Amino acid sequence: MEPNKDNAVPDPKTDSAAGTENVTEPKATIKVEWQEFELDATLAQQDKTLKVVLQPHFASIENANITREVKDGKLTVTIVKRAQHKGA
Amino acid sequence: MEILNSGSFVAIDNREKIDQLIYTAREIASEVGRTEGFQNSGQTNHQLGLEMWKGAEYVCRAHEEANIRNLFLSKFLERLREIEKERTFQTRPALTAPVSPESVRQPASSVPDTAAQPIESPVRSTVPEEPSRIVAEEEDEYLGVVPADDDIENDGPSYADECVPAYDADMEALVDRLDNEGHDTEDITSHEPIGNESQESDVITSAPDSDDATTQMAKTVELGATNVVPSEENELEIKEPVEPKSIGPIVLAEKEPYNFDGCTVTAVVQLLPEAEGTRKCVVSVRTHDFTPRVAIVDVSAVESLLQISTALGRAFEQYRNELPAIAADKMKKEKPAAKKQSKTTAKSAKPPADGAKAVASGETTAASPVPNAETVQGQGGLF
Repeated sequence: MEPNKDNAVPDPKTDSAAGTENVTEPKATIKVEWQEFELDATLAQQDKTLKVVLQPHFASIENANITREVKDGKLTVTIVKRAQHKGA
Repeated sequence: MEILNSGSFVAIDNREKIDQLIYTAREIASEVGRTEGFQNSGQTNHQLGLEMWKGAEYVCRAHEEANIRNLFLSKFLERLREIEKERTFQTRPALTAPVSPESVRQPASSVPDTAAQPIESPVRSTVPEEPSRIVAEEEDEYLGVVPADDDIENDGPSYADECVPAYDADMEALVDRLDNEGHDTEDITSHEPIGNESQESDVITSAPDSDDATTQMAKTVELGATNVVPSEENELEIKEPVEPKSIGPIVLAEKEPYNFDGCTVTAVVQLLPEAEGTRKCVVSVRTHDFTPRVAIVDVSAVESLLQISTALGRAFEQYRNELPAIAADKMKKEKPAAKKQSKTTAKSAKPPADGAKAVASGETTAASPVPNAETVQGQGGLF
């Protein structure tokens, strides 16, 4: 049975990029809808915070897949819109 | 002239019916005046007239009813006043016979009578009297009474004028015309103020005080009515519906220019939960479909509004400076994409050109029922 993601406690390994490598760069790179922009790393490390901040501008982030990668202390967040049912 | 039957339809434009109505009102008033125990007073007469009008059950058009009722009442009251005056003149010779004309004229100049006539103009009281005319009027009651009564009637209040809400210019003209026709033979210029004054003074000496009170009340009502009319007109003027201003839509261009002042700017201010006495304020600004520029500011509880506005202004200014560069990047990205699209459309247009060459060489491919292999591939490429 698949656990409920909404009520689940955030997993530091998946939800935060600090699990494997520390983020040292103050700005993170956000990749969303084939666009890239810089965002404060403090806002980009947690899914919840990222959704709250970006939801007014990207409505699709609510049900998007968020992946993080830290390379040389720079955090890169990739947001991919999850496939929805027709009409969603 | 015939009495107008009860329940008759009375139209204001029907002259015959109006005449009958007036005649009926006067006849009823005459009969009322003859009844024993009738006390002629203004308020009672008014109530009586209304009762008579209700009892007659005349049918009128809704918008004419008030005017016709006023006409009926005015004629009814007018006739009652005439009856009252006739009574006073009938009783007067017995009272005035032993008194000399000088003694009759004395009350007119005396203080109590002037106090009893506050409405009368002071000009009339100062005009010298002619004893010969007064004697002649007293000697012949018919010649002396008629013009004096008419003048009193003209000075006295009319119910038709009192009822201002139902006042109508057409109705007034009709009443005036009827009055003029009834008194064509009278010489208006023959009325002198002396005779009028003597007549009025006689009436006052013989009439009870209640009549004075009613005449004063009637005059005050008239004054009140004239004061009311302009206010009502003002109210009507005020109540005139003002045309509502048309609310125009805010029209946005389909494609807004890449100019900060000429495009829609979306700014979002988010106050994150307080931590350690301060809040994180996230200010994000964007235009078009560009990515937002996000800034974070620590906001204290004391001057939060000032700090937020400062942060917002700074974010706007920063985005204003960055927008040309962002727009240039977008234009650069769009140009290669447009070139690629034009190339792909050119490639897809080539196979039909080959087919056209085949047609030009004289082959009857279009007419052949079996499709060519190349055209099939080209059509398949369309799908």
